[in-house]
Amino acid sequence: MNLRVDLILPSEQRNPSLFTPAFVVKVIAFSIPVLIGASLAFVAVHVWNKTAAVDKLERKWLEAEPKQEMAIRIAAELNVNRRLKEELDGWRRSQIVWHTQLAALPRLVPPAIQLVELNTDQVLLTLEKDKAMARSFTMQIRGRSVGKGSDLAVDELEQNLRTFSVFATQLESVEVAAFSADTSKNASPDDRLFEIRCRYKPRAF
Amino acid sequence: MASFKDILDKVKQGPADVVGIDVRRTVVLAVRMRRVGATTSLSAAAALPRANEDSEEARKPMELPAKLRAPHAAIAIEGSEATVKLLMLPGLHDGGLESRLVTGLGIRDTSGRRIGYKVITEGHGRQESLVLAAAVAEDEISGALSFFPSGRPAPHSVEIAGLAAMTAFTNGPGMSFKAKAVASLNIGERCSYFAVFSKGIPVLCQRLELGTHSILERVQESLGVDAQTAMGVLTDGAFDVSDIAGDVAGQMLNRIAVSRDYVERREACRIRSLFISGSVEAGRDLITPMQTAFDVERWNPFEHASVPEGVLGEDIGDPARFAAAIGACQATLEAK
Repeated sequence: MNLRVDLILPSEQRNPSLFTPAFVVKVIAFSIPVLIGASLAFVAVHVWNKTAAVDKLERKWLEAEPKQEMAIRIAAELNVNRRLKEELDGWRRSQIVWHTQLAALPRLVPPAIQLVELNTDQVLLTLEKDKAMARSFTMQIRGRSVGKGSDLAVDELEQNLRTFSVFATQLESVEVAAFSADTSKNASPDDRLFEIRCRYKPRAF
Repeated sequence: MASFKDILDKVKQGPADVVGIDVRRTVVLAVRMRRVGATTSLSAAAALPRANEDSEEARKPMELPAKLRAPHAAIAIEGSEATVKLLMLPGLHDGGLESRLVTGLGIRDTSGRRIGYKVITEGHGRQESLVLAAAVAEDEISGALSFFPSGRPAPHSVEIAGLAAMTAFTNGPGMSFKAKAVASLNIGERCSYFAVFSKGIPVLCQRLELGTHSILERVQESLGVDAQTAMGVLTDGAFDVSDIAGDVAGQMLNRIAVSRDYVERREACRIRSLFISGSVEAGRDLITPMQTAFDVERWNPFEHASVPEGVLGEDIGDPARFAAAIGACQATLEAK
């Protein structure tokens, strides 16, 4: 039992707890604008930083763009030149050094033989082994063999072509393609006309 | 099935940790009490000096020591111009209670006053209700509330100190007088409260415009000393001022005796015991003459509360002064 005549009004009573509904509302009312403000400030700073970075990159790009264009052009030229060089190297690798062949040829020819005509030719082919493009050369030698033993002289020339190192290393085949009597007006009965075909080994590009 | 309101009422608990503050003119008496389950115990008590009530300092927010800083404050004020009456009102729920309280209190002008009441017993049918009503100046209430404008403690209640002391009495010595009539007197500074309880129910509650200040003024006039010296004279008992205080004590005894006779006739009872609290030491010259009419007992409110050892220091002074602060705490801890 108590004799309290309470004279306080409900509006004068305070909640001693820190987390009163009014306090929570105040905290929310304060923190939401602060959070929004902080977020906006963060976004603004972020945008400002990114804009500055973009400006910096654009300035760098303006400086670098001509260099890049030049570099692209030079790279393209380099590629063209490289391809050209490779092509030329290919042609160089696949060529026959004709001056050494021609210089060596007189030393193989027996005295009874007179060379009349020499033709060379080439065809392009694909090697079966590695499917590489290659050049295959042929050399056609026409001549006249004089006097008795003409056939022996032609055989000797054929044999020399097979064995002489300058040719032997490069030739794939040597064959006498034609051997016939010389029917010209000044020819003796022993004189003969002949044709030897030499096929060189295919040379890859 | 229990309604939502019932469940809410069960969940809703009143304060369990409260500091009772009895704001006096020269001192603030504070008591902190806690309720754990059904047990209520005192955890701190202090008599804090207060600056002169007319100074700016006295109106500043109150800084309580940490041990007294409970979440809630039950404030007891003197009620210097208060009107307190125990009313018998028929038909409590008939409406117009406010106007009937004003009439019952005998107040003509209610402006600047706040009126409160407590139903002691509720009558049913034609039975009258016993209502304790009080009117206190708004300024005094707002002045007391301004001591605790923020933080801890938060004001939970404001009541008249003399009535709070009666609450402490009902929870103390009054408990032993459930079948008999008993009187209680709380001596204040400018006013005192006299109440008679019969079978545990207050049957009379009277405000007496006499207190220690009345004797103090006489001592000041007679001895030609200041208020502080006069208070020293009253409390240390070095001078016999019974002759000077005799006039005041006689007035008080007369009024109490008249009230007692009235109650004894109306309630057909005999009142012998008078329990005195409040400024007992300063008001010893008021108490002495009463021993001729009553079996006077000065009671210590701390003896009727659960007080752990070491809580009460030497500096609390006259323990009887704390009755109002303890009563304010008890009423708060009792309320749900």
